[in-house]
Amino acid sequence: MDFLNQRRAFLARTAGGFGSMALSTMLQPNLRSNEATQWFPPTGEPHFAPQADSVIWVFLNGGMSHLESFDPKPELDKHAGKTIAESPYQSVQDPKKLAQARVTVVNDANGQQRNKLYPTQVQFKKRGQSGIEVSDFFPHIGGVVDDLAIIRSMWTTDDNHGAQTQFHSGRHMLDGEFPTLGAWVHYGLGRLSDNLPQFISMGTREYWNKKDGHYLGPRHDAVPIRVDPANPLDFGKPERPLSAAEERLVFDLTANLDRHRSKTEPADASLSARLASYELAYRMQRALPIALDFSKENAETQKLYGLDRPETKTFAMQMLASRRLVERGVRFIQIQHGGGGAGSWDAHGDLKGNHTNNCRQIDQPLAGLITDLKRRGMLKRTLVVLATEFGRTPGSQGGTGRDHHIFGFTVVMAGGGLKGGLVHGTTDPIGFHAEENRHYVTDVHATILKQMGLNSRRLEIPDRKRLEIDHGKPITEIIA
Amino acid sequence: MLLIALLLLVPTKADQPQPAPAKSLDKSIYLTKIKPLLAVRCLACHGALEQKGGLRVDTVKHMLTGGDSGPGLVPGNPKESPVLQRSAGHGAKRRMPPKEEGEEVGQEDLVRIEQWIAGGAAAPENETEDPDPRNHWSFRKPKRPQPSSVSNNPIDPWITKQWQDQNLKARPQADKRTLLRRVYLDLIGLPPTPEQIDRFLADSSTNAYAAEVDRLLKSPQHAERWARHFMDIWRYSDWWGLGAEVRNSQKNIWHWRDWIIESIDKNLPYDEMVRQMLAADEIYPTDSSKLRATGYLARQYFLFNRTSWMDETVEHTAKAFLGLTANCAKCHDHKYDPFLADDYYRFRAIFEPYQVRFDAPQNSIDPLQGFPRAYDCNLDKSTHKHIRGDEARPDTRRKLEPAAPTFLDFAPLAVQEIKLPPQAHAPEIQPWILEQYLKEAAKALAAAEGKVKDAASAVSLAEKVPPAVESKPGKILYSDTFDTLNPQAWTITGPGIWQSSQGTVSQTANLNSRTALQFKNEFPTDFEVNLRFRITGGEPWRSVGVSFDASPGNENNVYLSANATEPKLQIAYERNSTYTYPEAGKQGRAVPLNTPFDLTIRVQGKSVEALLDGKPSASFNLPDRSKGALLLTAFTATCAFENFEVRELPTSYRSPLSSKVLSLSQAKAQLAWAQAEYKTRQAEPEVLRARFTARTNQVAGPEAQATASALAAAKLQSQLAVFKAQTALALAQMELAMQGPAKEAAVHAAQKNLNEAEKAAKAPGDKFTPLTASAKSPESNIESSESKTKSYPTTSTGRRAALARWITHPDNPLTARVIVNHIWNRHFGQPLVPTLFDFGRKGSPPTHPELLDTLAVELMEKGYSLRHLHKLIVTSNAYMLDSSTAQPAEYKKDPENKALWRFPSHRIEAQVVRDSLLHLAGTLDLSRGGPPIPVADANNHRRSLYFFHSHNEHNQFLEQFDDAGVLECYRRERSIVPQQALALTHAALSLDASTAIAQKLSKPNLTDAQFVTEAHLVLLGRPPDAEEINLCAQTLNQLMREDKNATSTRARSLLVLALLNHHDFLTRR
Repeated sequence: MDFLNQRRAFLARTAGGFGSMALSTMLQPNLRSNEATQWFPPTGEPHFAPQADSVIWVFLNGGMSHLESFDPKPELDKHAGKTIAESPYQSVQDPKKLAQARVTVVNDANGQQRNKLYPTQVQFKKRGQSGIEVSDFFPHIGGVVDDLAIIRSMWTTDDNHGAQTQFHSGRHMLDGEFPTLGAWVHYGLGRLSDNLPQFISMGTREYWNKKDGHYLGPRHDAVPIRVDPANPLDFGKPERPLSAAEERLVFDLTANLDRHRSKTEPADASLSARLASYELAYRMQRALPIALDFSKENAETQKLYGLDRPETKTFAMQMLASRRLVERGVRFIQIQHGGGGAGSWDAHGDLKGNHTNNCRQIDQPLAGLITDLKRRGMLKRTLVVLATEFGRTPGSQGGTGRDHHIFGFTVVMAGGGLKGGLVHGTTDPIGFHAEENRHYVTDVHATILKQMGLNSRRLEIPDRKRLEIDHGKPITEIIA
Repeated sequence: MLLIALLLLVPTKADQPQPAPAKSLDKSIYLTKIKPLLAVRCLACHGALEQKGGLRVDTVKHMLTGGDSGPGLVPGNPKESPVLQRSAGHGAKRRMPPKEEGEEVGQEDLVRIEQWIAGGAAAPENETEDPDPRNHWSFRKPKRPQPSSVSNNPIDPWITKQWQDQNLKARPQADKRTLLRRVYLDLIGLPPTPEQIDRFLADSSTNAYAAEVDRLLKSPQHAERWARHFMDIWRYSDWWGLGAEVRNSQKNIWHWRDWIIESIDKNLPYDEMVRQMLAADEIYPTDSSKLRATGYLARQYFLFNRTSWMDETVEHTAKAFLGLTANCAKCHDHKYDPFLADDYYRFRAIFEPYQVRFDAPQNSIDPLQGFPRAYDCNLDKSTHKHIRGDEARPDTRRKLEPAAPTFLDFAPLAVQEIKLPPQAHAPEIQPWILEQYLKEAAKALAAAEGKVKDAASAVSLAEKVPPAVESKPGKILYSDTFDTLNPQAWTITGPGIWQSSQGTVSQTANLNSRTALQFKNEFPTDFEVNLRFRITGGEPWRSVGVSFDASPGNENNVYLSANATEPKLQIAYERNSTYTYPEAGKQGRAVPLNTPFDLTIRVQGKSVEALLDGKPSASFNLPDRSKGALLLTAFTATCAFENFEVRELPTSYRSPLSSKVLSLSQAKAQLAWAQAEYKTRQAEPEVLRARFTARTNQVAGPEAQATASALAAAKLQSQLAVFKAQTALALAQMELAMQGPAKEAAVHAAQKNLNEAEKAAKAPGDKFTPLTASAKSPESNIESSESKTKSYPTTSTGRRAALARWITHPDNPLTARVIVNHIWNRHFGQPLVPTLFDFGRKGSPPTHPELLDTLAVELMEKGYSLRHLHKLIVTSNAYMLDSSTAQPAEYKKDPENKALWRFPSHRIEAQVVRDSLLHLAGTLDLSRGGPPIPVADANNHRRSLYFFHSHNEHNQFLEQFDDAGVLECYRRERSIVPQQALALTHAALSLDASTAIAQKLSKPNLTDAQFVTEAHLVLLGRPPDAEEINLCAQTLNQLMREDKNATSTRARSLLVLALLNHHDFLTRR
């Protein structure tokens, strides 16, 4: 599919005679070009040749344990029950090393250091040709390990669940609200589809991360959808009787009247934008139910994702929907897994039970997605991310759980021009601190932007100077 | 040769772009590439603002002169030019700009600079240095400029001047309909009704428009409409947090919203609004109507982090009132404006002492029913600079005193401590507080009186009841001595090993679950069971007893538990598989193993009484009864049953819980309690008065009086305490009479308390409790109890009052300009200074500087009357122009319409969309003020500004049209996105409105064409042309054809729906 030409054709059509620059300027009244600084809003063109067109961003709310998923630590079992001070690794508690934490909630029961080493709650196996160890919580994901780039050396600074926001925006909760990665991509790049919103979210978004655009504006918030062909969008269905035929006539009349009006107002760019938005609205409410209708997917595919099992069904539907949406030209899909409280992965107690249950819900569907994307040749241009706000403490909390852990944790990426079957970065032998190739969360952003052909510095807005750390650095070692 | 030198100096990667050919190394390279680069990377520290190391690089001349360590630039010699060398990171010291200050200079630019220096560092001859930032236009006081042409309206000469300067032909005046719709939407946020349109069209007097404007400016809807604008700028937000915990803003903050509306309604001068919001507690400390204004400060509240709270207060106070980006100076001196990091913390010091509290409103003694307000709480709290903005690194060597930014030296911040009137720091001494307390006390007294009457009649009723017939045991319905396990009577349910021997039936298996004997015989709904048994072992609960009404998932259960840590007798119940163990049905007691117990259970209706060895031990009223089996149960227990009987209840049995008819002794106990309570309530008013007087004298009276009244209050208070203890004892005694020995301990404890109270009353001292009239919001989530209860200071620092005076000082160059710009923006849809919150050097310059200054001066001279400013603007010629873009020559010259050659049409705001729909439908509820409408109540028809609006909760329909962000909203977004089309077509709001509007427009015998015309006039403010009538008529026909049942009413309402989606409806033209 020639996305680029399709997009150009769309811009040319909607912008009338004014070109894409006029359109994007018009759409951003706050962000007019500033002659003094020679700044212009993005044109929608990538800044350099992109390696990926779309992103599927899976986020596990609450904090997945790196120690029970992708970062095996036999030393934990060996010294289980000892305090860290009694183990050979007391140096991890060097106050200087711990200083990166920025405390959000003082005296909170959570977000504390836990000193008594807690053994790994699951076995690991070498998997795939690469022989990368993945835990038994993730047998299916282990099956596609040769397509994964596993980054074991992430760190962040918010010791509470504001770190969810931090992972999406790069900024600590106390810094205020900043655009999320999806919003930047949406802001920077033009459309791949005339029929669908370009930035979609699914799943459970808790109160601290309901928005994306922030200073870029609400139009860069993700459009939340439900994987329900009958009712996928807010205001997607008439709240009073209105037949499809009536609706079509209403939309047609509006469009015809606006088109007629544009004859007398040929230079009114907002009028052309409105015409375009009505076209898109009409197409969107038809295209979405089709994109979310799985009846044409054969039984084998449905089974591949785990649609046939109650414990995997919900997430499987989101994963299959993601593939179908990417296929139809959606740029950025954000799926949040795990609701309730700060997120279902927040295993302060009974980590084993908690992760058994959570991992089971996502293992097969996510592996199914990667397998399916790959066999359809889509994985090359689709970047899949499995992220979470932080890892979990090597020490135990309350005897059966692990607390929040910001000093070292794991993120997994796949496709979109990245290498597969690769482990990048390390934590120390008890999984406490990221050691080799340490990466702050914005390095993940930078990697994705690079693959999407965007230079974050060129997206910057004059009045909103970003910090060095906001931009991050691409993790070049995992790029193919 | 040159190339070789370059390669030596600057390590070049193979893939770097090659240097430009030497011929372009002239001054144009300096002007187009090098100077702009230096401006971005170097000027913050080496320019007009600051000259680190004595060096400035804003002109070549300055670079040649250099700084403390010699010239910055040696033409022809890149190697000796520190400007290049330091940028490239050469030399001993760190590279420029330092890593944390800015991005390094790229390879391409380094090569370019090198070539330029090597080529002789050519520069324009008369290069001017950057002006002194203190002379920036907005930092100098505005003066009224004199226009060359004369006009009725001081606005127009400056608009006309730009048309002339740029040779632009302006649009003609808008037609009357368009103008009327424009000004209605602008001033009241609602479109004109057909009657209002007719009135205006019929009035051909020259004064017609001005009269409309006056009417609108005085309407209450104008206050609501413009209040929403100010709520945007001042970040209005209802509270949000986690669950019930307030973390941001405050509950009842809507009182501030109502203050904003009322202030606009009575045209309160803008400078006075600013003063009240920042410091009403210091300027008008006892005027609760004005104190509501400090909701501005209460809204900044953040539970978790005082620095974040202060940062937001500083940032948005500076942005909203002064157009200064003070926030840029939090970590380092401002890079563009002469705003020092020290200035930032001096500004913070102004706010450092303040906290938030609630005072009781006039109709309640509950402070939390009042409104949140600011007050200075921590007078001595010092402010320190945070090194690099890191709150973990305060520079404690220096204490920063409150001060205005040093570069704005038109007047100092004149801080004067303010002595607060007593009722401000001790609101409990206001007479109405006492009245309110007395009112509550009178209510309680009346209730107590009623109770005494009821209790007295219960006594006389009990006296009339004939002496209870000697209660006789009920008839035995079944009896079992457990010589064997009688299979006719019992079925074993669950696991367990049941055997009988020597007159007992025993369960001997150690189980981790329950086993039971199910009774097979019939028995009545009200019954008595007697069970003699021993608990012999098991782990851990060792619970043995009787279940009745048992069915899967439901039962009632009375058992003895010989659990090691919590042995007890318990009445419990299970509903829908969930067990409840009510505290009221429990008797904690020793339950020794292998000891026989006689458990008697009496069930009468919902009441259950359990007697142990004949002694009433526990009773409980079940939530309900249902039919089910009776079982003898053993839960993780081994046991031996010795005897079992089912009986009818004893004759004349009444449950101890039945309150209808009490025994005489019970009734008397109840009366005693009611009388004790009455006595207490009777004594209360005098005590309240004494506490009030004592506190008043303590705060405001002469010392002698204070001492005497404190002694009196303490004495009365201690007497009241005795009455209260007596009441508590009487209550315990009544419960003993009603519920039996279980309450003995409570009686004992109450007696002890009474003894202590009596003892204390003998030496009452002078300590008394003042009435409560205020509640302080937690200063943080880890506030100490001391801090929670400390009394309010009797003085206020006066810092905020000084700031308010300084901001509204006639010589302040920013305040009037900033508000004029905000107001202009909301009338025209585009501001004069595009960066609404940044009037500094990084901000954009005004499009019409003389106009901005004219209006700023005008506003100040007219006593900051916003109404005057509104009228000036909306009656200007510029405001009344047509908005059409159809003027290609002008469009080409000035596509952004900066010169205002046409009225800048723009999309209406979220609130205007929704309110207009309801208004045109005739269903808008215009009731004003009060608590916010919950978001869940989406079908509420009040004006949109009344919806609950916080970071977490907002109305979904408004959200589609770029509702105000609560974190900051100096300018509304005006996006045009598909979701808006869906909301407008599908929401119940618009579908209902379109039906109602169509009905309202339908006059008898209206043809389709006439209807279409009417609809255009009312909804779009203009008549349709022939083509539009044609398009609409066609659609009406199609709609009729599509649906056989379609009526013309339905078709017409759908036509209205289409027009509600029309660009002209959503646009202020």
